[in-house]
Amino acid sequence: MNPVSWPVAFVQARAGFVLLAPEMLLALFGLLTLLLDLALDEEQKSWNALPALLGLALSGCALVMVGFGAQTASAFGNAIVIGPFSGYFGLLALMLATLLILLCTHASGPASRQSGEGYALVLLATAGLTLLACANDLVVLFVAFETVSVSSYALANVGGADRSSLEGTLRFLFAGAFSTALLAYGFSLLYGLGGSTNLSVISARIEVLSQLSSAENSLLGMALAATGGAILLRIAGAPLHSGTPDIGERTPPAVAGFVSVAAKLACFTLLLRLLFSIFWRERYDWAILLMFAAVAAMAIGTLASLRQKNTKRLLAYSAIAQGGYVLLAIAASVNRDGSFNARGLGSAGYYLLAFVIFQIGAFATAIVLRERETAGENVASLNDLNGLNGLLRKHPVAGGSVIFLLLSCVGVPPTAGFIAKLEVVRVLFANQHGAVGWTAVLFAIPPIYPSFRIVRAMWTDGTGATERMPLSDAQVVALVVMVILTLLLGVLPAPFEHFAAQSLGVLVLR
Amino acid sequence: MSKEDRKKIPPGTIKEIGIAWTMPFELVVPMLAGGGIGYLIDRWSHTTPLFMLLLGFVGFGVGIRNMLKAVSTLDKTEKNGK
Repeated sequence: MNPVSWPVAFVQARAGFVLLAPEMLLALFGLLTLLLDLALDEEQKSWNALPALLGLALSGCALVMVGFGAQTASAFGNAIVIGPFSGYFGLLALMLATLLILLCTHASGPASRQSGEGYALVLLATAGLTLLACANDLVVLFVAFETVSVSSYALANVGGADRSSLEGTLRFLFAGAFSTALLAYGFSLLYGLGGSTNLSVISARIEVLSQLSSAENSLLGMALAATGGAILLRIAGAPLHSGTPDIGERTPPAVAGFVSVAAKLACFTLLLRLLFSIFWRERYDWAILLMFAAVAAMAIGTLASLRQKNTKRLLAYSAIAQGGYVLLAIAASVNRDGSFNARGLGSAGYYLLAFVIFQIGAFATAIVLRERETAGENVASLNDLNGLNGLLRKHPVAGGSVIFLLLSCVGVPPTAGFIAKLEVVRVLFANQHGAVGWTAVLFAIPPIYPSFRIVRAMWTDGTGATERMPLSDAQVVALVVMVILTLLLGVLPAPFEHFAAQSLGVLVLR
Repeated sequence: MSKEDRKKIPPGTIKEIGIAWTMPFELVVPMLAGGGIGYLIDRWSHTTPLFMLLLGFVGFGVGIRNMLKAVSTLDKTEKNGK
């Protein structure tokens, strides 16, 4: 074998790094934000948002340039694969981070709450999400997944640690550590089976073998159980959801929102990567298991949310139920004859797009509650629905936007949430999963009731100051943009569904 | 289920589950009615989808109002009950 000269190797490696430009820009601007935070006085801390937003914008441009080419590109010995799939999930991650940072620019309260650490951690978590979307190697998948996880653990305590948030962080850490151990175990089994950490090599070996031995079949089954269990634990999919709403209750609302959505996005990216490559042979098994997990998630998330008086706990249980619909869409991507159903995968992608927008929008309810506290309003209990009294009158734009996004969250037409649920149900019926389809319809109805309790709380005037509640321009812009996107996705869903189906469909074109 | 376990289920849970499954129809039925009537008018006057959307939105507004009234009545009943 002719040794490659170091200049050639250098150029080849540099070409690979170009494909990682979005991730590198996010990491760079995360570090810049940290450095800038050191240089700013307490009153100037709100400027931390600027490099964070700039980094997200530049990363978005780089992602569009490298991520949406007609052909897929690979680098680092096929450990990184750039294409429509990575571009789609990269865009979702960037959108999530941008909306969150805009919602975090407070109009009132100490500027020191807007610390550079928080923004830097959001950027680093987003870099982990985008890397996860393009990873084609077990090691890279693991590192990217843990980048998101560790950033989330640290984020849970930014802005001052009190006993409640420390407890929430510890519970979050323990649950995450357990799922990481399971994931590592599953990956080690896959390495033993494939003799490589590269997903393409492992899935090729499994496909080439006309018949796996019973020991290898058992290994594959155990790997599926371990990785599936780890991912379900992180998605907080029932029955492994225990503790997730408690974690959401004890962390600051913006953090709770980001962590719940980012964790689900990371898990679904990983799940799609693994199920449609290595575990495609086991598709009959995992499709059924996913349906059971989905129905359990919808049932537990929906029924538990009905009695919740605490806004953040209600939203956490709602997120568990939403995860169930995405699991159903993934399960419906396998037809009864074992062939691939592109529409099912497309509905999963569309649901995730709508989910990112309306879930962050729903958490804006809790963010607004926090603003009222820092504005000095005499609010009885921040986590109680009564804390929202008078919001619609005091800030019609924010109140109206939050109401609209809540309606999307529970699937009221003409919002994106309704179309997303409708598409999942249609795919299930088209795939002759009528019983599961009717179950999904059944559990789509109850969440409307608790959301209207929130809407009524905002509509009702309460006692307290009558002046307008301060919200920053960035927060109002974020809310309005989310409303416009939700309406656009709800009224003109076809182009977005087609885009999602095309982007995710490349997973199976191998 | 033992007596102790039965005590762990908060009172009114079953009633609340029942309300959660029936109340949303107060939102959906006016929308469907408005949209349906609008569709029939459009078919007669060949103006699809103008009246369907218009009356559908009117139905949506009526549905929202009905839901808010129903939730408000329920909350007042709960408070009086306590």
